[in-house]
Amino acid sequence: MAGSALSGLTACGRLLLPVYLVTLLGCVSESAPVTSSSRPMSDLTGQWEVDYAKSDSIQTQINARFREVQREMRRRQDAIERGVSYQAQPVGDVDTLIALAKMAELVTESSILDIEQDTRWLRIERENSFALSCQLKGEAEPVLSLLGAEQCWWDGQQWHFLVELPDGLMIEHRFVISEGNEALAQRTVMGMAGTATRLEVVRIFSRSDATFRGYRCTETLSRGRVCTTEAAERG
Amino acid sequence: MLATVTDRQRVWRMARMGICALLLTVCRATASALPVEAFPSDLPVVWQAPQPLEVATAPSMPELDIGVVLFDPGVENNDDSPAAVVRRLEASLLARELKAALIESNQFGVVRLVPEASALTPVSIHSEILRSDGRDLIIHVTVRDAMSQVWFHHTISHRETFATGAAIALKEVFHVVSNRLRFRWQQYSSRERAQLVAASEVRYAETLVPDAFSGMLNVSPDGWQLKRLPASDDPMLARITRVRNQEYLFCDAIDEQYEELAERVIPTYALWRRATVEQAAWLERYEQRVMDRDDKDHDSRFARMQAQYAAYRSYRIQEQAMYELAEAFENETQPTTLRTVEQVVRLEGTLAVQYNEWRRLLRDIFILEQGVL
Repeated sequence: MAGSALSGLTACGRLLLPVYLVTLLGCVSESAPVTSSSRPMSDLTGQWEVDYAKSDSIQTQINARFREVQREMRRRQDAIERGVSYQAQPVGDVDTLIALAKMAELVTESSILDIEQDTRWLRIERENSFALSCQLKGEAEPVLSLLGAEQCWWDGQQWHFLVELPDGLMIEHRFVISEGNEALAQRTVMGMAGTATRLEVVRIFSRSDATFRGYRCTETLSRGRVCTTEAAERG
Repeated sequence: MLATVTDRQRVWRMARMGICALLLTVCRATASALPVEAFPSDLPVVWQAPQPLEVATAPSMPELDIGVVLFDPGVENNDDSPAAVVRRLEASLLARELKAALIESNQFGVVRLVPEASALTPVSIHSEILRSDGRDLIIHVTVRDAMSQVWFHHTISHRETFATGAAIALKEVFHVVSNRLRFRWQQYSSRERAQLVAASEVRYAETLVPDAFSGMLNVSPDGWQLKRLPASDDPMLARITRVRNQEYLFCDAIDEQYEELAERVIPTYALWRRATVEQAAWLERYEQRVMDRDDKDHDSRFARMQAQYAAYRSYRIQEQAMYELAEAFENETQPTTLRTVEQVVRLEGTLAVQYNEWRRLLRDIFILEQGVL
């Protein structure tokens, strides 16, 4: 796909590509503070299924991005041919963009989210991937491990989960729920340390549990799965 | 050894460089990167190979009973994060491994897991987990006698490598504690050993009836001195021995519960440790291959990203399985049923709550019996 998008570039354009790396593809979203907000936290509890019709297609995004690059290259070529000065827009690092796009496909492949939230925890279980979990009390402390670091926080409007890997790959998921609590947006921004290239993929999820189950289960070792009704628990 | 430390330094240096670069990126970054200070400093840890266990044909007399206090997990009590839950589970499992090493040495008397330190046993072992990430294990161990005198401190630093193709049994990590304890115990003469055991009994009696046993034992920060012993036919001493046996009964009941639960958890725990080490080793080898080629672009950027992400994802999925099991372990508030002289007592709540409740009951029974006499 990326190859086909690139095929439209002239040889000169291809040669020029690495020269114009810096910032055009850059940051698609505003920065968010790592400190948690005191504003009431939104409740994401429930089971969610991806709504493909409303979600980004990575392929479409990449095509659009490369069309931007192609247009920019043409503008530059025209300017060179006409001998006029041209205020070039940076186009970013295409290799990184392709790598990030392929990674985005892997990272956002989960089509079902199962979210549990109480006063202490938010836990997002993702199909075919690891769960994102966030402690709701206290400061947003990074969790370090041998293979990467993770941090989460609530900024007053959305939940942030930041994963950083030793080689510099950065993945940030942000979750925001719609006003009617019927849709959940997952914005995933992929980036690479040392480059300004960023790629954002938005996936929209719809509730797949129209009614609450009415009970809650806990795993125990000796008694297996123990379930209690939510009404009894609350009462 | 040195190479391992260097590898670790290299990994974190790369992580830091990457994060610094990210922080310095002038663009409107998507989010603030994790703070550089968040990464642990490169402590000059010297990793120790497990010692062979010194095994005796029979325990030296008098037998030294030992209380292995459940490990301090080194996390806050109110921390419910997956890492903290897993760590608390480890605190129980590792205490069991230490107990197993001490028993296997055949150097000592009865070795019990105890929820809290007390004068119940002449010697107790306190341990705090300083680091445990599936590969590296750093534990600070302090051995104290019932008079609160520190026998020794020891820091265990173990890095799992699977160099020989199989994980070592975790109890091997604790051989060093058993060996050092044996060495210390043998430094005492037979008379000193007998005195220590007797002094610990007086100490225990003092915690129950301070008035009746005061003046028999002098304890100061510099040491202790046994002034005199209660008469061997002292009826109060007999009652105290009975209370003591009841407390042993509680510890043994708890021990049994732990043993049963641990049997079910240990295979997953071993799998988690193994997977973590393998993922880390694979990633290090991969990074080394890329560095050795001296041309990072030879390996595509995507392949490098994918390798790192796959390792991280696999690690986190394993951790999750471990977390679910650890959570199930924590949910076990199994009641303990114990039989005292004339009544059956059912204790509920956390282990520490049950233990304190049991000790309170024993004291109440003791006071009642004193009143009758």
